[in-house]
Amino acid sequence: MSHSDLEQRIGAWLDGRISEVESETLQEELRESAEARATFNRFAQLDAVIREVADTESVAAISRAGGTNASIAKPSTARYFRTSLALALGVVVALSVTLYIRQMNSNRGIARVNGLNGALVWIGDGGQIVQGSDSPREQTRWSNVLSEEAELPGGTIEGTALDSWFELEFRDGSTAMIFGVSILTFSDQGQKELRLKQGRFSASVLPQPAGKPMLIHTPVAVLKVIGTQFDVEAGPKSTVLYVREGKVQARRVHDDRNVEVSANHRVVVTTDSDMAPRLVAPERTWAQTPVWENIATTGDQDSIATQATRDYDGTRNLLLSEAPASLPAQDTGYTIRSGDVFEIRYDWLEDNWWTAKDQIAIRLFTTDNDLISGTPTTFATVLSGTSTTAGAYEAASGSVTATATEARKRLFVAIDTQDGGGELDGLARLDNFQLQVTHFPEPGLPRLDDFQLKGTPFPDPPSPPAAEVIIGENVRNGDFNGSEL
Amino acid sequence: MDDQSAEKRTASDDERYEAFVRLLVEHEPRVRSFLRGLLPTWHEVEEVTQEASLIAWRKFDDFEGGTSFGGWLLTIARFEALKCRRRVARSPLVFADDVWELLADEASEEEVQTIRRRHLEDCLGQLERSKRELLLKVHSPGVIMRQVALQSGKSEQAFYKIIQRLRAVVLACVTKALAAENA
Repeated sequence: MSHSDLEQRIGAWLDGRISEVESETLQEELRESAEARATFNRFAQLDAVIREVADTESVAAISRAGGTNASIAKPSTARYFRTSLALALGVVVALSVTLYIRQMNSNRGIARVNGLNGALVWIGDGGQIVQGSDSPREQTRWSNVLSEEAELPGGTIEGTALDSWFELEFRDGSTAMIFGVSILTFSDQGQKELRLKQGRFSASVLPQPAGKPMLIHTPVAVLKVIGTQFDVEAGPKSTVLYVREGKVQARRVHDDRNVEVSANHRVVVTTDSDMAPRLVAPERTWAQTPVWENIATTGDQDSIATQATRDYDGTRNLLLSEAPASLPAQDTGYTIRSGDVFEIRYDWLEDNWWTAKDQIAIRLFTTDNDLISGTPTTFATVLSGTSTTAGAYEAASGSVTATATEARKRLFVAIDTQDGGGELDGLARLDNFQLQVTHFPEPGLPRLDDFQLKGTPFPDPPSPPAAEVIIGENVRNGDFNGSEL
Repeated sequence: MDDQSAEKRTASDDERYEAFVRLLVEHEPRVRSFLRGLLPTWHEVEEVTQEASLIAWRKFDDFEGGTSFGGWLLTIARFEALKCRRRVARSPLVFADDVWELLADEASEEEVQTIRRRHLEDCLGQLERSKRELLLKVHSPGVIMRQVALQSGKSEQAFYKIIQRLRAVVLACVTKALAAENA
C-alpha cells in the first residue's frame, strides 16, 4: 500500500466516511507500523487545529489576509472566554451543572442533527410537537432541538416546504437526509428502523451489526440496508430506489417479492412494476460532454455535467448548481440578425437545497471577439419562474427579439441560476433544452424578394418565416437532452 | 505559565479558580488534538473535552502542584475517551482495543510536538485563497462535507481526494515549521 493510500484512508476516517473494509486495512497498518501511527496522529492533530480555527475565525477574515506572508488575525480568545465563563458559572452553580449533565445523559439521543433548512416540524417522544428553522418555536421540553448539533431521541421529522432539508447522523456515523416535502420517522433500539411516508430520502449507511440491518419502510416497500449509499423517493403508490454504493434489498409489501439492487442500479416499486433493477449510467463531466462547456471562472471541465438519476424521460439531464463554480454554456455557431426571435423551451426540476425563490436563468449573450472566451455582453435573460410542482419536472419557455445592437455577432447561450433564497447552494435538473430562431425582417427594409418581384403585377405572397432549430433534439444538444445514456 | 505556579492549596478560591483556568486554557488544545485520533467524530471530541475539563475542575484539589497539569488532564481525557468509546463501540470508526491503546500511548507521549494555531495559520496563509476557504469550510461546525462536494460539481471521491491533498500540503508546511522551531 502506498503512503498516499494510507493518507486517503486516514482522511476517510477523519471525515467519518470510511468503509468497514477500509477501516480494517487502516487498523492493520496502524497495528504494524509506527510510521503509520505517527502519520495518523499528525493528521488527527491537524484536523483538530483546523476545526478550532474554522470554528473561531470567519472564513472572510482569513480570506482578507491573503498572500504568502499574510497577516492572519491572532487567535480568537472567544473559545477561552467561553471556557472561562463556563467554568465561572460552574463554580457558582456547580450543583446545577451536575444536574444538567445528568439530565443531558438521561436525554441522550440516538441521532444528532447535522444540518437543517426551511420549515420543519419534529414530533418527538410523547408526541411533543416542535416547529423549527423558519417556523416560530413552541416552548416545550424540546423547544431547542431543531438546531444543529442537537441530539434527538427518535421521532418524526416533517419537511413542509420545497426548500426544507434535514440531516441526521446516527451514533455509528451513518447519515440520513430528507429533502422537500417529506415525512420520516426514525428509531434505533439496537436496529435502525425508519419509515418514509412520503418524499425524498438519501442515506449513507455504515456497516450495520450482524443480523440487524437498517430497515426503511415506505408505503409500498421495505428496504433492507447492510451498509451503503442510496437515495429513495417515496409516494403513496410508488417507491424509487437508487443505489450509489453497496447493495440494498427491496421487498414489495403487497406480494413479498424481493429484489437485490446493487450499485448504480435503480428499481421502481409499484403494485404492478416488474421490479427489475436497471443500470443507471454513470455521471459525465464537462470534458466528456460535447458542445457544452463550463465557462465559470472558478469551475473546471472535470466537474459533473450530466447524470441519469432523477431523469425526466429516461435520458441524461443537466445537473445545474447555483454555486459560482458552475456555468454551462455553448457557442451556438449562429450569427444574429436584427429581428431574430429566439424561442427557448426546456423541462426542469428543483433538487436538493433549491429554495422556493430560486429560478433558472437562460442568458443569451455576445462577446467582444465572437469567441466564448471573450468578454460577454448579455442581451437577454429568460427566467423560469419559481418552481410550482415540488418533486416533478415542469416546462419553462420564453422568447427574445434581437435588435440591431446584436446583429452580425455570434450567439452564445448560458444556463445560469438566479438566487432568491440568499444561499448559493441549490441544485436543479434540466432536460430537453431547445433554442430556435425565426427571422422577422424589420418593416421598411427591402428584401431580395422585393427586388425580384418588381414589375410583377400580381406577386406571390411571401412565405411565412420558418423556425430554425439552433439547439434541439439532435442538434447541438450535447448529451443532456439526447436519447442515449 | 508553568505547572509549578498552581499553588492552589494555599490560594483563595478566586486565585485557585484563575490558576485552573490558566492551566486549562494552556493545555486544552493539546487535549483536543489528543482526543481527535481516539474518537470517531469532532462532536465526541468536544463532548469528552468538556467532560474532562469539568472533572479536572472538580478534582483540582487532588492535583499535585509541581507535577504536569497537561499530563494529568490527558490522563483524565483518556479515561473519559475510553468511556465514550464503549458507547459507540459498534461503529466501524472505532478501532480495535490494541490499536486504540497504541495510538493513545503514542499520542500522549511528552515529546509529541503539538501543532499550534499559529503554525496552521501561517501555513493557511500560504495557500491560494479559494483552497484556504474550502479547507476551512469543510471543517466548519455544521457543514456537511457531502453537501459541499455536491455543490462543487465534482464527484464525491474526487472532492475527498482534493481535501486530503490540501490537508497533506498543510501538514507538510506545519511539520517544516515545527522542525525549524526545534532546530
